[in-house]
Amino acid sequence: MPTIKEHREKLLDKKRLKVSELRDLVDEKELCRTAYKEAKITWGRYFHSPVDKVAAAEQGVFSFDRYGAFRGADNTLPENSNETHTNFQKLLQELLPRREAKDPDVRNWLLTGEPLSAEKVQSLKKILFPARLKLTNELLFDQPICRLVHRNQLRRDLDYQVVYQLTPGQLRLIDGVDENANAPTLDDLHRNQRLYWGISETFQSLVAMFDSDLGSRRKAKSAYMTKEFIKLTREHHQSDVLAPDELNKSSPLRFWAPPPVFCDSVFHMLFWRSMITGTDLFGREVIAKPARKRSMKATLAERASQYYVLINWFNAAKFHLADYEKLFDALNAIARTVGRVQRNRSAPLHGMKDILLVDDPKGLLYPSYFPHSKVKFPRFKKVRLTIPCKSLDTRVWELTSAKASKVHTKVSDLLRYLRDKALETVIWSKYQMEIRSVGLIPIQHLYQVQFEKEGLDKLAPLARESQDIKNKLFTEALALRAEDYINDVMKPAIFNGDTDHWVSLKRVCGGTYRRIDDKAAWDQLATLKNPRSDKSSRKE
Amino acid sequence: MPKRNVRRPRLEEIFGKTLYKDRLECLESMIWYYQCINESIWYLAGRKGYDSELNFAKWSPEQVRDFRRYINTDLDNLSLEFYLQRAQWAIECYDKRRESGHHEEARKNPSRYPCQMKGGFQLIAKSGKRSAYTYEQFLGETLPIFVAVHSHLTSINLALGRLYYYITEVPFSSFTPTGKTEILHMTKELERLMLGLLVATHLQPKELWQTDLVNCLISCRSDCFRFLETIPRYYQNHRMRLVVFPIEPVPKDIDPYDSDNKDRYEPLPLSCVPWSAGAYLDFLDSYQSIVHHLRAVIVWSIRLYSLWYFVPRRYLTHIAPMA
Repeated sequence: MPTIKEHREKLLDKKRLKVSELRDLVDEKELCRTAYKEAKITWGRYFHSPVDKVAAAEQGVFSFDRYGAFRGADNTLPENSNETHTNFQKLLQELLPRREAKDPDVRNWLLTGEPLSAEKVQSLKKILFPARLKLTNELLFDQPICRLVHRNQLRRDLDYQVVYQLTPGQLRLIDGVDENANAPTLDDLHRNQRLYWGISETFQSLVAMFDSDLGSRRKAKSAYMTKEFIKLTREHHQSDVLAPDELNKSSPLRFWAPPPVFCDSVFHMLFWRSMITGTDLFGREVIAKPARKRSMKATLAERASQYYVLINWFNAAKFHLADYEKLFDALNAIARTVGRVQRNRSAPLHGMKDILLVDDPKGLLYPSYFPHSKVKFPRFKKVRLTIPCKSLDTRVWELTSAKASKVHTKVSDLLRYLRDKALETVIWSKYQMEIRSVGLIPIQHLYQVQFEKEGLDKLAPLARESQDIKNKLFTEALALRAEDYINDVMKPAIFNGDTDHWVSLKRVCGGTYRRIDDKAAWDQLATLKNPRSDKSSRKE
Repeated sequence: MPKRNVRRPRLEEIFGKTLYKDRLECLESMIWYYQCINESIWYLAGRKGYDSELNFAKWSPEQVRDFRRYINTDLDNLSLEFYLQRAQWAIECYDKRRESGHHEEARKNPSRYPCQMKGGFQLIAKSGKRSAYTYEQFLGETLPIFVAVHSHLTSINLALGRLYYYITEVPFSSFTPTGKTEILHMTKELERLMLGLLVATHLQPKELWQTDLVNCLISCRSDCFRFLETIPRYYQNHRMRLVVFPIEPVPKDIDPYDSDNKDRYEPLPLSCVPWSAGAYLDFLDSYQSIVHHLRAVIVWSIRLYSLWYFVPRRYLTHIAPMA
């Protein structure tokens, strides 16, 4: 009987892996049984994208509309009122035991977003985030974690025969050589560092998860709308104003997931959409310069070959686990502050003074400054977190829940939005998705995704449909029907595990001796550009 | 409001009137962190002039851990900031290229003026365009170096945290005056080495006498070896002290192993138990760990230096990967 370690080594030695086989890489069976299995039974395999939160649960417990708003409690969608009511009842049954389901405050929070008191949040947290489902650094120590990346984020180093994954900040600087305004400057970096020290770890984590959801300076859909929801300002330095997404601009963060979560949810939520539509979740083209006149199957094979699965071993110095309970707490604390400032829920936001976010309970939004020590750190500069209202001079906020109110965004819209985000953290916690890697990370095992024949046969017609939608060959109604058709094919295929036969993972390199198994795939990766070696190769 | 008696670590105390005009901001927090731990040791070991409570940082282990996360997050930007800083210097060089005296000034402090480099940022200094030496090219030359430096710096931070834990957990009062002097000696030595780390991470001389940067870094490296060699002596001395000053027997009413004393389970102070020698060994181990990583950073930074400046062949053997 091979030991778990031997089994794992055998798996990692295989030249080809199925996506579902990644699940067996976790050697601690207890980890699977508690944290993942239970979550899977309770919540179903979940589709959830961080960008356009079109989500659907197997049992319809949580669902979000195409704008990303939580559907099931609000009466903002009259055409779906029956469905809304049923969903809400289901939510209550699944989410809360009998006593809490009858609690009028909790019901009110789920229905209208009316903020809960700190005590209620504490009691709700115990139910929504059971301790047995919580991953800890100790549980994950020396366990594999996975990530799906596009080839343009990888660089291979020929000297050490190792692959590195670049951080978003680095990629932005590489892309922005031609004086692009988006590239980080030294001043940006310093300003971000100073502001970073003024906010708590919880808020940092919140920014890492929902940066542009929490507030962005980028242009909204319409000139009369705004995306600025939260502002960070350094005290006495009024010029240092940032939106959360700007704070994250040169972020060294990347998201990883434990193998069972990765192969059940994360892989599917990132991969299939890119294959079918040719653009990823963030709207980037999968193939930068697609060749013309190519068969759909060849295009699909090329799209898949752009994606790699990385496997590294977890350690607490390089990877951070999110504390979802605290994120839930922080979002509720923000909602409480908003609710306290303006009692009238139908009051328009643009008429209110800017709301200063207070630290209640202490240490949640702002860092603690070593209360017992007489040694203070100048680096801990005081930062103000504000919800800008009047100062924005805009009537409508691009909030997901504000779909109904096109005239002006109200306090109730903001509260519902904050409730949606809080519920989202519950979902994320079920899948333990947020492990953030920090800094430059050499990759330990690298696999390239490849289509099997069956996968190409099944996916090619769907990709053709998607291409036709993109090329506007369909009317709006037909396009919607085509989208539904794609979803109808993909959802059962993923839930029933059919997709496992559609793709496989081909070992490229890795292991203790950094062995290269697939020279062709290895050569496809960009090398670190070394001006010296470029010169010498030119001479030759 | 009464004015609170609070001490703030000052970077000026370290940098003072030095050659450093521009510092790497991402390293500042690590400097402060080290400075606080250093002063706390001085306070506890009774160094003259450091007897005020303002020199002693009262942190819980959790606070140290939280604080370290902030510091390590700053360090993540080291490679970005290094590139942006040098690229800016190179552009300044380009702008001043025709000024009289620029060349002489640059010869005095070649690390500050990229026009003195061979390749690398010199390309920007010559053309005035960042595209002459892009971040991607910079990464191509330096990525493994920065990965290694980053990981050693975070390890130094971890070991500093452990050092702080031992000095606050092990009651220093139990050490004899000789023992305390030894600790002060060690801390002083470490301080000198940490100044070497400062030079290595910034890759520019702090004082005028360090202008020959590579020589300075090589001697820092040798200093690290010398420090590591002294560690067994400290341990030996401590064991000798335990023999000369025998451990006092534990008072009966607090001895958990006494059969009559069934209710008391209070842990004893570490210095009272025979394995306090072990605690001392862990304490020494933290020093050792810091210096090992420090030496590694110095070696990597010599390697970084050798990419852009002349390094005599005799030194290159020190920075070979397997050296």
